[in-house]
Amino acid sequence: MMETLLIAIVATPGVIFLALSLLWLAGWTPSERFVARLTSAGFGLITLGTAWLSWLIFATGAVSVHVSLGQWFHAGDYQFPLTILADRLSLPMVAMTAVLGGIAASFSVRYVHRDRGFFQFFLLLNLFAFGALTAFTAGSIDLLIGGWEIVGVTSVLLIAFFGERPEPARNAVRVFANYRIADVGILLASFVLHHGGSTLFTLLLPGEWPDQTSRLHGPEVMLAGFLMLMAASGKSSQGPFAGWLPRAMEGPTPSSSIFYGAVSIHLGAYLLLRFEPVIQAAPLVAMSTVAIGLLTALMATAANRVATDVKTSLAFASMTQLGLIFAEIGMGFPRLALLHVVGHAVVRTLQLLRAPSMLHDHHRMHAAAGGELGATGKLLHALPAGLRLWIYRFGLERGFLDAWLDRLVVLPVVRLAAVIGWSPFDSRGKA
Amino acid sequence: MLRGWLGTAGLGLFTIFPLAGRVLNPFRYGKLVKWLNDAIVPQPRTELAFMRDHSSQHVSAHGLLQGFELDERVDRVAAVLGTAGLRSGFARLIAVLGHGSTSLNNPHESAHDCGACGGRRGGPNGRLLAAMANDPKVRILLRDRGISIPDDTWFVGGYHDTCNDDLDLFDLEAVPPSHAPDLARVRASLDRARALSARERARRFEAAAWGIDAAGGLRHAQERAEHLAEPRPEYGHCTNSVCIVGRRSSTRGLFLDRRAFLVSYDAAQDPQNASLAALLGAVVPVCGGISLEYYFSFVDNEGYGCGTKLPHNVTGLLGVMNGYESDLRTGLPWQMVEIHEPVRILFVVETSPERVLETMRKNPLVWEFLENRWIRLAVMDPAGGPPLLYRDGAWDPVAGDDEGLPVAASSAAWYDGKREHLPVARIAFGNTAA
Repeated sequence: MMETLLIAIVATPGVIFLALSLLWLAGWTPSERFVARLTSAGFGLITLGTAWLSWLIFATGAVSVHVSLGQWFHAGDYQFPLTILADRLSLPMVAMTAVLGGIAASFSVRYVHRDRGFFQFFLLLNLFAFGALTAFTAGSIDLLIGGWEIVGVTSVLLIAFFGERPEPARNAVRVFANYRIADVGILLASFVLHHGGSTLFTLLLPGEWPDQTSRLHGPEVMLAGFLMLMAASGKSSQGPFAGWLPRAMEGPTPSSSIFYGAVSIHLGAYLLLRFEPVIQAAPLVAMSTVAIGLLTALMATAANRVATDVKTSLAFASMTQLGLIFAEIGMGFPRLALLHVVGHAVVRTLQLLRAPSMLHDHHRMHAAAGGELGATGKLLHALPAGLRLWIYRFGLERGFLDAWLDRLVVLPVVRLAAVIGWSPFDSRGKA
Repeated sequence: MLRGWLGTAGLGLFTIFPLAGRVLNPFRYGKLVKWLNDAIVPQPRTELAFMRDHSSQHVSAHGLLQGFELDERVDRVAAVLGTAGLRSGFARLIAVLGHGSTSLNNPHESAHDCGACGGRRGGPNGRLLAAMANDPKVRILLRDRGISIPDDTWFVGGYHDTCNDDLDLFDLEAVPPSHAPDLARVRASLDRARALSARERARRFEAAAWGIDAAGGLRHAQERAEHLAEPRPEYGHCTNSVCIVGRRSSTRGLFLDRRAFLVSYDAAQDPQNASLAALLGAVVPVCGGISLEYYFSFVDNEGYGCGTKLPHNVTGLLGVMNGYESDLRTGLPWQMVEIHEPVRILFVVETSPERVLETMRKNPLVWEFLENRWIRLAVMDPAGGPPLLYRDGAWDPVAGDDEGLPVAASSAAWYDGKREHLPVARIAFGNTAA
């Protein structure tokens, strides 16, 4: 029963995506009403299914459910296991995806109404939900990568939703490049885990989350841990990858909300939570996680305070909390981190959905305060003026990260391309 | 950072209630919030302070003059009533309504408010005018200007929200007890009117079901105003195409499809064209400007308008840009103009051709609108003759339509089941089934 339910939850958005896209390929674009009802019904079903599954797990006293659907393929002694699981870490993430995804879908029915990309939007939303649910319930790193990549691709396609203008296309490419580089980490990590024994979480991390141990040992632990941290930083816009998040705000408001307020942005934190025993087994990795998280939080909170537009400001606010979540994971508080992830996702979703109200809210506050809004940042005023100015510039330039990336990564690549006589970048490609 | 940590890690989960309520059932959630607000914070009773005795009296901390002297009050009431031709034949109760628009999550909200006062709401204006017109001292001086308001006439100020079709009347406790039945009757007909208006507006919205009744139309309008995800809470002045300056008896019974500005003017009461000059000085720039704003935002939405609302991002606390980076976007968004028909506005003035040209020539701003063909002009001479259309400095008679207007039993009978622009029709009176 529980096994069937779990499969149904993960499969539903995938089936809806497949059905809609096959109909479209056959030459029929369904009406807005049909797409909206089908998608809402899908999210409704997975929400109910998740509630039911949680109840069954609670009632039967089981801590987790594992379903093995065999393997996709095998080559030599490698096999691609199709195993999904629901445990104390997966279930909250699945519930979060179902509820917030459903709310974003319901919001979009009105919001994207009459836009010519309506069908495309809902197609991508369903595919995204399938990817996120696959990543959260994956029982092995291989399957997790599959869901992870689906989320990445849909995220980039929705940033480029208004691709007829140059800015969304340019920023989508930039985000895509960030994802590609960071995803090298998770791919290499899967090789390391494979060599270390198995890519199946049940074999690799015996026990129940969060009281698991790592079967990995020696230098492999540290290597796998650092690679995971790299992938997670890329997905959650931390450390050197912190520059892309505000650029991702090019799509329609509800997609910004569900991706960068709720689900996609927390996928990195989920990866670290899933491999928490591996990270804790290598103190250097754990310390790095804390350091990256705290440094990003400090940078992002400075950038958030001087951001001049609401979506950039919310992007940096998200980054700040993600930094704290990374720090919590590194310090060994996985339960707190999970609570923080879910709470943050809910708050940020609402904030991003009502981001267009910013002007109105400001006017109302301004009027309620009698036309004089009090000064903020009293603590900062205790600092010397020179330092304050420097922090201001640091925040305004978003920690100079984009400039460093351009100089250290983009420029060498462009130069190399020129040397080997292949130059797909025009002068604006690196902007 | 720390406050954010407490808000998300500690209390974050509770945000699910406003989030789900706002998005999944905005109508009921809006009602709940309003009910809670009313229960916890009662509406304060207020009184307008608009009196001023001497122009030297500076009553505020800002050093600005506040309030109106007696003469100024008389001027303002006369300017509204006199130019509209309301000099006699007053009803017992007169409602003066300002307008504005309230919607959620809409950076373009003020584009639905009064453009003439810079995107503000007109409620206080209606309230103030009513209070001035009720002032006995004002009424005595108004008689010298040919406006005799009877003692048993009472003015009530109000505010019409054009988005959710709410209608508030102000200072009702000041209405004399003798007028209570009149007030009840006015209230009832205003309530009926706003519901019918909401229903007629709903025909343009695809989200509204076909064949809803007036109550359903009102509910739909209210739901739109409370909906966080609604990029088109109302169509506002969209589809505007004509401004008729004349006696309301000339347009009575016409179905104009919400596309006309109706301005009251009676040429017989205005031998010197003074009222006409005042009216045209206001409505030509205002209605002409509105028409051009919609016109250009429609014909080149990316260039003159601000494109689709969906990726808009409030920036600098003053406007919107597209997504992460763009110029400030000016003009109207596509969602506000998508059903507009880009035509220059036609002014139809009910007076003689000579009088209207003479009046317009005296005001350079108005004359430029006409001469540079930003607007079109036609007259209907009350003395008779066919309507004349102004074209390249000459008046062309408009060929009469022999067939006459189609007749419908009611507005609803004419528009039900149709979303597109509708031709003008005559509504048969005496058969006004809603």
